[in-house]
Amino acid sequence: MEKFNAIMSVFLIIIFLFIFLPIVYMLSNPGDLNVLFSDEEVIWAFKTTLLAGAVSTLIALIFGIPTGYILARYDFKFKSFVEAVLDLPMAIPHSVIGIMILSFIYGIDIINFIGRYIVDNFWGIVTVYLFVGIPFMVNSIRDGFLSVDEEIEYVSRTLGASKVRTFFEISLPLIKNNIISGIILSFARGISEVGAILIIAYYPKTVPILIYERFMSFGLDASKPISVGMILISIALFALLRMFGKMRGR
Amino acid sequence: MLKVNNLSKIWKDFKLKNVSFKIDKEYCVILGPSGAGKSVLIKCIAGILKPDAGKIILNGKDITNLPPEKRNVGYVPQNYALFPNKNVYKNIAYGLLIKKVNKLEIDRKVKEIAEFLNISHLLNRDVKTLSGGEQQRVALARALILNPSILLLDEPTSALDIKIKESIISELKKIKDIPVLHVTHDLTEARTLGEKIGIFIDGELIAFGNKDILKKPNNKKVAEFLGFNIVGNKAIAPEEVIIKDGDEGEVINVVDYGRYKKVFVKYNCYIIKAFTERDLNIGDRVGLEFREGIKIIS
Repeated sequence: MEKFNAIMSVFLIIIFLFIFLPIVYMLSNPGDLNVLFSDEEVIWAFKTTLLAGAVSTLIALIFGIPTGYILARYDFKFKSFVEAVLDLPMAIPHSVIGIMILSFIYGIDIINFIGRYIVDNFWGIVTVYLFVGIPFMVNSIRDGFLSVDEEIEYVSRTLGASKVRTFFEISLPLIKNNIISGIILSFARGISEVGAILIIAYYPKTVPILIYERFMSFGLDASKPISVGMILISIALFALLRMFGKMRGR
Repeated sequence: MLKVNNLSKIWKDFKLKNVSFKIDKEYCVILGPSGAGKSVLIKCIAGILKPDAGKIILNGKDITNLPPEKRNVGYVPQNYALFPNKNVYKNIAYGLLIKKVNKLEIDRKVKEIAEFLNISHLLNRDVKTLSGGEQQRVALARALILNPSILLLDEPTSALDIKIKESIISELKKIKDIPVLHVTHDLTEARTLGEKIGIFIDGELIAFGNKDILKKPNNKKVAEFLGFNIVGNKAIAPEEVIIKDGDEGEVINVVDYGRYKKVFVKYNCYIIKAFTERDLNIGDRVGLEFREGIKIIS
């Protein structure tokens, strides 16, 4: 049995190092980190990325809470179809998402004026971030409402709280951690997007686009420090997520 | 006073069929096997489920179509459903807070009800740290503090072990002056607490009345549910069967209650249940004598 466990552990160690070593190497050989604070283009890219991430996450939250609630509490015709469609952005290749959105906007006459605001525009970035991030928000919030015992809501009603009041005072606070993890996941998914952004909104440049561009034009060393900045943001988001995940488990 | 008229409801796999009854300021226990639809009845009265047909009248007012928050009913679900993000005090005070009662008054009432239910020492506790019996008391306090027009209890002791169960029953006995509707599958609870008793099987209220219906079932279904022996057209309580020396019956099962045993005896084509102090084992041959039985129709 001991030998068996040792063999199993070897697999764990290999796959752990496969992910861990490149990260550690990157962080310990970041190149010239000064560009993060002095290169205007880099600073702008970070600002654009974080702002687009924040805006799209806010929109995802506004739509995700009611959507998650309905999916958790009610049964209706074609519910599993609706759920499957809402999950689909996770399965579609990223460049295809870009092509899809673009051809939809330009394919339908009455909406192709929107193209102006989407293509190579900040709102194009927001649109893509929302498209790829919304499944994480909806799923996280739906799972939260599913975990709230309906009897708790019923009791609140019998104690005199209206449906609306019960929703805001009882149910919503109980899924606080699901909301936070939904925010973090959809934000993180958004800002990491490259494929669809390349097609829809190369400008204004987001960080992943800038990393790609610097790599293509100037090589590895030019893209390294920006990548380190991005890794630090991702690790920070992930640490937050783990923290709230632990709290939810309590 | 609660009056339920011809209430019908189909919900998930459960059904209520034409249920009618009336209770005053008394403790009413509705007794029925698990899965009979007792919770559906309670949920209809609380306003959580909308009945398909029928009327619910509380203190002379038709509440059939009112939302739960306008009914003034106290509801204690089977799993207590305490608010997990509030401590005991805030759980109990929540209803008063919604009614915008002032803080001093809330404090006084919470302390009063906590004392009544022996939970004063728990007020600052996190509800997640409470035992089953403690949670039950908090849920009761939370419902009772609003002086509801009726208290609805859904299997209030089913999740508790026997010792805690007995102490909760004695707590429930203290509740006076409001109608209580308590649904359970536990015969002991019905005997101990019920001033009015209803028997509820397969979505139907097949008997309703005072405690006598537990002793004198009026039909076969009720008699069977209450554990009577049905011999011919008579219902005979297990206590009315005397085990004596003889040969006509064979013991096929024994449940040991300590001082006495419940035995199942194969007798002619019947399985007869009886209590005895004799030390019997499976396979023993015994004689039976029946004291008076109750004649039942159908």
